[in-house]
Amino acid sequence: MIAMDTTFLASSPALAALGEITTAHYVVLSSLIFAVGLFGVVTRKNAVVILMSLELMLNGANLAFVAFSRQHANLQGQVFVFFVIAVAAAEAAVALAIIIALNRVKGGVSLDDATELKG
Amino acid sequence: MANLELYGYVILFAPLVATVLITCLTLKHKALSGWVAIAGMLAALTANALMAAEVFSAEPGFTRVYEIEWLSAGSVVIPFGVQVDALSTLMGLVVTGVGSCIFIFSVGYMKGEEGYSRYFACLSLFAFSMLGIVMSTNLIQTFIFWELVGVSSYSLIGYYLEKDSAVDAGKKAFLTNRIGDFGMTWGIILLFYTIVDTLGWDRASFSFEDLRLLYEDTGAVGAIMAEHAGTLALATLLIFTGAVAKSAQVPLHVWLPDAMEGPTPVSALMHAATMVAAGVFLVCRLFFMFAPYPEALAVVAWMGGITAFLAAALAFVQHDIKKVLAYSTLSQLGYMVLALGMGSPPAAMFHLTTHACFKALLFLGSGSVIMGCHHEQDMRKMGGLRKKMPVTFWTFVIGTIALAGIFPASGFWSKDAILGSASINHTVPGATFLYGVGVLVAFMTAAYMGRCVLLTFFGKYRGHAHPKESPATMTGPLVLLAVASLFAGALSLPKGISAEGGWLERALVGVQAAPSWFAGVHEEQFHLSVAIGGTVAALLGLFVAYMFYGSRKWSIDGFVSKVGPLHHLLEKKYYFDEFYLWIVREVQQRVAVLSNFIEVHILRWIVDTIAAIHRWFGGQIRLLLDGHLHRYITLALLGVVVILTAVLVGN
Repeated sequence: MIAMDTTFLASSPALAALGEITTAHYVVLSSLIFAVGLFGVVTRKNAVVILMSLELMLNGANLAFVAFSRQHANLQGQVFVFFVIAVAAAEAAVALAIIIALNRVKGGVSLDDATELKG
Repeated sequence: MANLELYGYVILFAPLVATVLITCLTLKHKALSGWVAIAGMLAALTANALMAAEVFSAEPGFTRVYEIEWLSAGSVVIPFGVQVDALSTLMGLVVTGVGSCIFIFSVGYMKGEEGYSRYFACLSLFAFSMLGIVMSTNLIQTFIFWELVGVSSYSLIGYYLEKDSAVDAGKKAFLTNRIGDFGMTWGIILLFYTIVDTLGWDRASFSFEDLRLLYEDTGAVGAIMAEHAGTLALATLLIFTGAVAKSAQVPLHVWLPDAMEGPTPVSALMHAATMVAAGVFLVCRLFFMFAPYPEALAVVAWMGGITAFLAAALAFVQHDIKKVLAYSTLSQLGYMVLALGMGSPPAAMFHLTTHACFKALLFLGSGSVIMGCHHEQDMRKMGGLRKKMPVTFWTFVIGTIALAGIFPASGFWSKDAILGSASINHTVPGATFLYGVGVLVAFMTAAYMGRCVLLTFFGKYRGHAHPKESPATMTGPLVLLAVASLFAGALSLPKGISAEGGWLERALVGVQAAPSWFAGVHEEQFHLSVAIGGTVAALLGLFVAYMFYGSRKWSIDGFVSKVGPLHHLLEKKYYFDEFYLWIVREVQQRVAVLSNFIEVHILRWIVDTIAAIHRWFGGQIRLLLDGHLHRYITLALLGVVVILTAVLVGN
């Protein structure tokens, strides 16, 4: 059981005004991060930016995992987070390789150029 | 007695081991392949001899069944195993004994052939299949080996791959046999269904001994069986169609003469001695299924009588020495089937045994002649070989005497047993007429064999080769088989000659069911009148042959011109082939065209339409996927939103 020391938060007058930080706060924050990531993925054309947005989405999810892990007082969520981080690292490696290849072939990393997978 | 099981499995699997060894290891080493095959056959023969020593010294009716559970589905069990009794032992001895002679003969005959190893592998496979039928304990096992015999026969008839006629003959044999097997399949199904339907799953079985108990039951089960006599008799006759095809009875006989396209030892082993006898053996094995139905036996008897006569007549107009023997085989098989129909399996098995000896001898003799004349089979180009091939000549004459049924050769005794069973039969309609046919066929047999011997061995040589005697690997088996042909009659001397009557009849007592009407029918007595009648007919036949072909006092051409239309009918083999061809061309072809129309224009149209509908929908959906990643993501997102909304609203 990992105890989180939050006493230092109370020393900040601004934070104290918020009252106690509950799981709900974390979930709202995680949703926001996830939404920002999703927005990036849907709207941007640059493959690198999309990749970074994807990382944001993953980390939004990670935050929710950790929050719930704390609420339920077990380690399952945190274990998942480790998996997600590991997978994200692998994914970044593969994705960057693809992006480099894309850059070589198309002379750019805009996804509008990569439409070969036409059904 | 535990050894019996071992003997049984050795008999069954030794030839298979030889097949596997040859195909896997020794294909390249021709001589070795031959000896491996012979070793397998001799192993089976040895095991069979040991088995015979025990079985024939046991009490009459001795039967042991060794089975393992091979397949099971619900309460139905299909066993696999060996049945050891007098019938299987005797038939096994015929197959392995004659088989061994022919394997050894083949070493000489097939020398220098391209496919020498393939030939011996196929021959061993055939021996395995045949012994599988012989040793089988149940209908399913029999059927499997029955088909295997068909396959190995196919591969051996078509042995000369490069000859179109040989390949066609193989196909013809296989397809004709398939027709019979189709009937047999339905017979087995109908039999099994009837038993399940009337007696329940508990009594359902494929095993011969279980079935026999049902048929021989005299209590409640027997009464139920009697109620369904019509259905069961039909099932019996359907199974009999399998035997009709395999034993080449009219009208499914057309494949056998063509099967002579195979190498001569193959003709001797399969199309004279063993494979074609499988039908007769099957009827003996299942005789308890025929015995309660006099009508079924009458059908069998008439079929045999008709075949015996029609085939014997055809033998007169053949010029190919092997074709003469082929039609003779048909005729003799007709004899055996006649004996079965007359209710005398021992007489049929007796004739089967002696016939296997002398017909194998005659075929191998013809093989030796053909080799001597440098692969010439036409008797018009032979003649005068008596001096040039003395061993072949004398053994061939012994075979002819045995086949013609001249005292004291084996054929005399077995033919007498058959004619005797026909002469005293009083259950088959027209039994006396069939007896007359039997005597007539005895006359014809002697006549066409006399013609064959006179044309081949006497007179002046009319060919262009330089015939000389065959090597010892070929003449050795000839001499062995000649001795067997002379003395095999001693197996079953009838009552009146030996004190206790036919040995075979006593040994095969288990084969015979004995319904009330049956008693006395099969009593194998020596009837002097029958023996004299048969012998006179045979001598008359030889005399006629001598007048036509020996002394030439009677003119054969003059005779032919007198019976022109009949001669033409014989030359055309009663138009059976033409008739079947007509069926295939006119009937089957039209059915095929109609089926093709239904398939292409109706069935395929339905399937194609269903496929087209799906393809159209697929095409529409495909438009969405234009390769732009963002559209995919948006669509996926949309999907998630829809699902989430649905779930949340639902809750």
